[in-house]
Amino acid sequence: MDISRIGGIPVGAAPVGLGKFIAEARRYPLIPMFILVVLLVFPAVTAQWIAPHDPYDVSPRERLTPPAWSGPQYLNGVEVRPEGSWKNILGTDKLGRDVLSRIMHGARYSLSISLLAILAGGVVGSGLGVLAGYFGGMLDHIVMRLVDIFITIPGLLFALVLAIVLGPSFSTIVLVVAVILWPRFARMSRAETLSMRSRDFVSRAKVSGCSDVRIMLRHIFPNVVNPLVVLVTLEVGHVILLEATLSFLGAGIPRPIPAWGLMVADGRDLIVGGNGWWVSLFPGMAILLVVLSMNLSGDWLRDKLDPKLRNR
Amino acid sequence: MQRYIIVRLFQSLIVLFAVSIIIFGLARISGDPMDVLLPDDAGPEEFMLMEQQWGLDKPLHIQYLTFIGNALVGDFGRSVQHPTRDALELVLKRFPATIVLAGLALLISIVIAFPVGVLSAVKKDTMPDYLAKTFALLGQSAPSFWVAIMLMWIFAVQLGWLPTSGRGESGWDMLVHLILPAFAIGWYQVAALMRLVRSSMLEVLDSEFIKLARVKGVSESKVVWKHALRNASIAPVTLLGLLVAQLVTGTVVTETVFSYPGVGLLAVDAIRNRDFQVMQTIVLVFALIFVGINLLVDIVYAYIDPRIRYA
Repeated sequence: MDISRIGGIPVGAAPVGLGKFIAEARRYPLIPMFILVVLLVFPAVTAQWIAPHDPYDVSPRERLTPPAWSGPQYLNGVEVRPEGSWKNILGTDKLGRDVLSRIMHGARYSLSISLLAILAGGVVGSGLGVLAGYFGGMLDHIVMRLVDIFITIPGLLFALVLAIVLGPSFSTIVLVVAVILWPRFARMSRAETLSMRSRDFVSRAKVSGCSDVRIMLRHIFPNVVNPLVVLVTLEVGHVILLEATLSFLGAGIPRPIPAWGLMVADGRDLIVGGNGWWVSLFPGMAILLVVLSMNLSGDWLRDKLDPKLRNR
Repeated sequence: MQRYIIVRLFQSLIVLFAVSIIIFGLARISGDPMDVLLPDDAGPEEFMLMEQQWGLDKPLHIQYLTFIGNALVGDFGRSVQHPTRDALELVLKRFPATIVLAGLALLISIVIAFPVGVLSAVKKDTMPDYLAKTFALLGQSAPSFWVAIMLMWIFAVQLGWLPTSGRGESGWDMLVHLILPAFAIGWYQVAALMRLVRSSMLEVLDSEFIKLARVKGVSESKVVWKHALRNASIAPVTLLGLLVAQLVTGTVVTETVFSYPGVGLLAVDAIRNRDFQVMQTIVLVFALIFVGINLLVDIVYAYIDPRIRYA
């Protein structure tokens, strides 16, 4: 029998290479949080000062300039693609707009839409959840049926219909994402409230004459808030992806606003035509890195605040 | 069991009813439903026709009954974009292409996710496990439309192995056109399914009957692939409903990237042309299928695991 395996479980195996890096990144979220700040928060707040160019500035003479480090490309001795220049580090799109500046400004839309949508969905969802869990009965029944209905239907379908009816705009997409999010908050806060309702401190508060509103706000909500915070951090990644997907499909914020999903969509035809890969690649990588670091930070926070959920 | 099925069937009908109310309501909360239902350049006789057919001059509940009555006989109105065509006809014509794509994607994800998930659980905390976990993490963090575009860039544009877009003529050609889109959808599904198989396997491998099997001297491969995997496969079945929801999203996104003429591409065209009739048809048809699959999954699950029925 292999002595390094006891009960089929390997003993003392240490993570190696990339695996080790990921394992470490999970334990100490400094790296993901650093990426988050550098890629999302900092550009979002300071885009108008630090972006090298105006994201809406069209310059036809510099259209489809490749990233700075790529050389010129020839076809049968004719230059089909110019050399990259440090003026546009990540190149320009088909209207000659600077890709890096657009990504920086895009961070602002990504962040504000996600935060507003989570705030709206979180307040409505956890509010309804606490109410349903506290009062029970008919209210509970109605809220939970609604939650079931909204969770059953793929959110994207709702989003597409809403986009047609209301027309794509900033407020439409916030509303759409909030509508998709609230049931998750409602479900979790109801479950937590139910487990609190029968606890001694609640019945004592009741006996000492606290009103229902006071009990919910001062006694139940503070005990429900930890799992909700974890849910928020775990959902931010989803929300950013959802927002990007909707923008990509043309159901998000309209052109020419530099949304990351829209930028990837604009680059699609350029890739098919072989005219430029950078217009799609970089905004997509920004989404990937931000969502990845959000998920890692969320995992870490969940382990910190709610150890029973570990290893899920 | 019978009672359970009836209750679940009833709940499914409530969901469908709610979806129909939402669709019906959305066309009306935005003001005059004709603005949504008709193209901008519609003439007065089209307004007359629409008003008659959908009973728009009558009270709301009558309007709703008309809407449901029309929907039940398959009349969802005419497409704005192609005024001569029935919305339902347009959707159903695109349907086979999407079903084939979604089916292949699901097959790919199951074929990859189960072995990798099992391997990752058996070799917990070793290199293969970390690779699998990294892949799952990346898969869940990468935007699916971007992954699709990157796959297209590498395999279709740079290497030229596979076509960039379209559906192909017949047989082999169609299969070749399916490969990239199916992998683009499958990649995302593998990530979710694999994680679940892994955690479910870990739980089962830790249980008493597995230890007993080992003590009895059953070979390790038989313990893992027969005793453990069979018991660990129950949990991923419940995820199937969720996977189908992801499939819907996946097909819409991927069909857009690869210009694959399925229902998803139709939906995106409908957004661009504000073609509400086509969109509501797509949503209702998808909702019907989706609710149906969930009902089926629940029934199968209750059949496999009798504890569910009495919960």
